[in-house]
Amino acid sequence: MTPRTPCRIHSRCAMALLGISLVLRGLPAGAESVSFSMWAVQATQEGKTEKSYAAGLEEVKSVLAPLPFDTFEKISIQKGVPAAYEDDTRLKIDSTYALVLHPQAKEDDGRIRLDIRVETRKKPTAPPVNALSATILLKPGEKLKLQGFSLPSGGEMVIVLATST
Amino acid sequence: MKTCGWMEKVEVYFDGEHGDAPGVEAHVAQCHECAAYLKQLQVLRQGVAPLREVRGIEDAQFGAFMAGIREEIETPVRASFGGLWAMVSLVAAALIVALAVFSMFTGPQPVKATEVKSISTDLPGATIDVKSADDGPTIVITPSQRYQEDIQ
Repeated sequence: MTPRTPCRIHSRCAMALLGISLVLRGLPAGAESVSFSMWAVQATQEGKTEKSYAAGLEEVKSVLAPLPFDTFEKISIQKGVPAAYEDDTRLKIDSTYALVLHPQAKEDDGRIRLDIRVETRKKPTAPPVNALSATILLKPGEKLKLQGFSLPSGGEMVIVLATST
Repeated sequence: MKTCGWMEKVEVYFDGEHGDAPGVEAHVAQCHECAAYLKQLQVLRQGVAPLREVRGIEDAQFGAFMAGIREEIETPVRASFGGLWAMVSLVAAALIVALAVFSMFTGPQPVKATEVKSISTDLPGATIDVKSADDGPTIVITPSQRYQEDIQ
């Protein structure tokens, strides 16, 4: 039997360290899906002296505050929605609009690369049209605003999108 | 196991160092145990006798003996592959440790801000703009007046 020299022992320890570190570093974070939260808000200008926010919009109040509107009403809030990579996840907002999320991958720096579409229908029976198509790199914890979607009831719709992973 | 008190004297007698050899011989003649012990010592000595032979170096051989030593001393040492492999192993281990430490401590890149890579719209006459702010970007779409009227 070949005696174990210190060099051989060190080599084996080093290889084990390398393997462990590479495995730890290479573990896919959040492997197959990513979680999103979406706030769809009706923003109107009604001449109020102080801006008002509907219940449920506390988390996005600071994001909405700089917008040139004084009244923010909730249209749809969907939190912690899982979206599989390389697949469409449709979030219906109302009878006119839907947000479609298509996560592509998690970048090395932690951002989520995803395609988003805001589909709109003039009538419920009409085929959807892409009011907006975009590819974004979304930083976890940061909020993306989509603004300017006309609403039948007046004002415009603001969509706030965030990922927690 | 030594039980007879004379056994140590028997050992000294066997080595030829005991002063009272006749006394020991007289005791051995009477004591079976000491007699057996003495016999055992004699057998042992006969057994190891060949090992005690010391080969001397005759004067005639001395020159060749010294020449052999000189040859061993003066012959250049051949490269030791054992030492080379040890060095290679050490260097490889050091490289692997360095890689492991680098891999562990460099970690993932710092997360950059949200970024809009591309935007488009299928709404006729609509324009799109991206506004950057500290709290993240805003994509602003401005539909045409006609579309807004259609929706409302």
